[in-house]
Amino acid sequence: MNEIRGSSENLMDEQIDIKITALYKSYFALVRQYIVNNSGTSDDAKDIFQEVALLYFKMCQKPTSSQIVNEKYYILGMAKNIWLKKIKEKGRYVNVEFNDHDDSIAAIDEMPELIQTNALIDIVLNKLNEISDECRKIIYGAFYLKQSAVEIASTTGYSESFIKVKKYRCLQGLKRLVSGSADFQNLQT
Amino acid sequence: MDKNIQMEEDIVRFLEGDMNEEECKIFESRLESEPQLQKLLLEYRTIIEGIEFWGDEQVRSSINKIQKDLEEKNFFKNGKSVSSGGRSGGNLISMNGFKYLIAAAILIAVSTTVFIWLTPDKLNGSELFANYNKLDREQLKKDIERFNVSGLISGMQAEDTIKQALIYLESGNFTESLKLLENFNVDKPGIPIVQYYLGLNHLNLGRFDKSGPIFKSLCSQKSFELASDACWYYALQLIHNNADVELAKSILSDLSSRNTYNRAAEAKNLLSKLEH
Repeated sequence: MNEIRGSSENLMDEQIDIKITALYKSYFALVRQYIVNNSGTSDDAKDIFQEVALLYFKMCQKPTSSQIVNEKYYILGMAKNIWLKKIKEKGRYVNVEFNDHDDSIAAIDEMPELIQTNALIDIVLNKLNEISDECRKIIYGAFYLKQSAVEIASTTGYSESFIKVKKYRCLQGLKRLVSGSADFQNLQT
Repeated sequence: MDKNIQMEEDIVRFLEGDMNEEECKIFESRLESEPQLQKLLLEYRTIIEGIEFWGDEQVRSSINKIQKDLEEKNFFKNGKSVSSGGRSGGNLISMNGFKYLIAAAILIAVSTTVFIWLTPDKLNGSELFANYNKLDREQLKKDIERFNVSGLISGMQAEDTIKQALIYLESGNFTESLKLLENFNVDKPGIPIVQYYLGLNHLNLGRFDKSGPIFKSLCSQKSFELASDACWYYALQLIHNNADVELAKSILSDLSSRNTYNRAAEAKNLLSKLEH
């Protein structure tokens, strides 16, 4: 079986694409079969799998990902949980079983919470558009993908020591833009 | 270091979980007695959450794109998600299907022959290459400046080497530039910007067998800042070699639609020459 997880902390765009495509090829059929057998459609399965792919990607960035025993059941566990939430929202009843494998249950316990947008986050998003491309890339690598300075240096062409300094400066620059904005000041009062 | 900058770095290290147990304890006790630190921590927490949300959106958009690509390849069709090497009951091709397959193969072969037969007369690849292959001196200046670290970090020998190579390149001394970059590449292989300028030197020295794979690979690296330029040079090389002009056209068409790309107009112009 293909192991999708592993070194996701090293991922950059192209590698992310390769890994996610592999995830689809290995497990989409399984997830679709489950969704279709539980009152869903093929389109529902596509929506659910998008969420699964994002959450799994985030899971792999956490140090606890090494505890995932069986990737297949882990993915299926996440899909079941998301599907259960969706059908509850729609007010439908489906008997969803979680007894296939331990990892199905582990997936539910450990699923990362996605950040919900709010007024403050909207300001950060706006200000992220105002910083330089270079800083955005470094921030994405350092604070989202959690890459080391060496990894970022290898994709940007800068030296490791430069990245170490730059990542703080970029974040500080972003923070100053946010806290200096009128919208932010208004929210504080 | 400035006290505030140090304080901010401590906050980021705390939020990122980069502090050891002892440092955490000290930081947490400082939080109780320093309201300014508390306030800054809250602000940084929001920033990090914003980055998390934004990053999720980036990955979500990659997933969307992948799903669309798979859709175009009929991956989701008929309830069969075909993985590579997968076998299904549909492996046996019917006689009719086989006939259509043969007919399609003949048609493709004939049209390819006609295309190859017609193309060399219409297209002077070397001439177009010579007209359009120009160094982006502005970019080159920026990169020379970038590796001129202005004392920010001292003793950066690697940057000095790249900077010198770019100065050689700017002056048209491709051989010397190539030598420096090749030596650098032995020590630190795979750095995209170094690869890019290696490719540019090879291209200008007519070593297309070397420059081709470099530009092809960099062109597909979306996170590389000069990916569009790598695509541009890859397309130029294809045109020069009359190798795959259709691929070159599709690259140029893509580049010409990128509003922020400084060679978009040139790409459009070259594309129109290829099409007429």
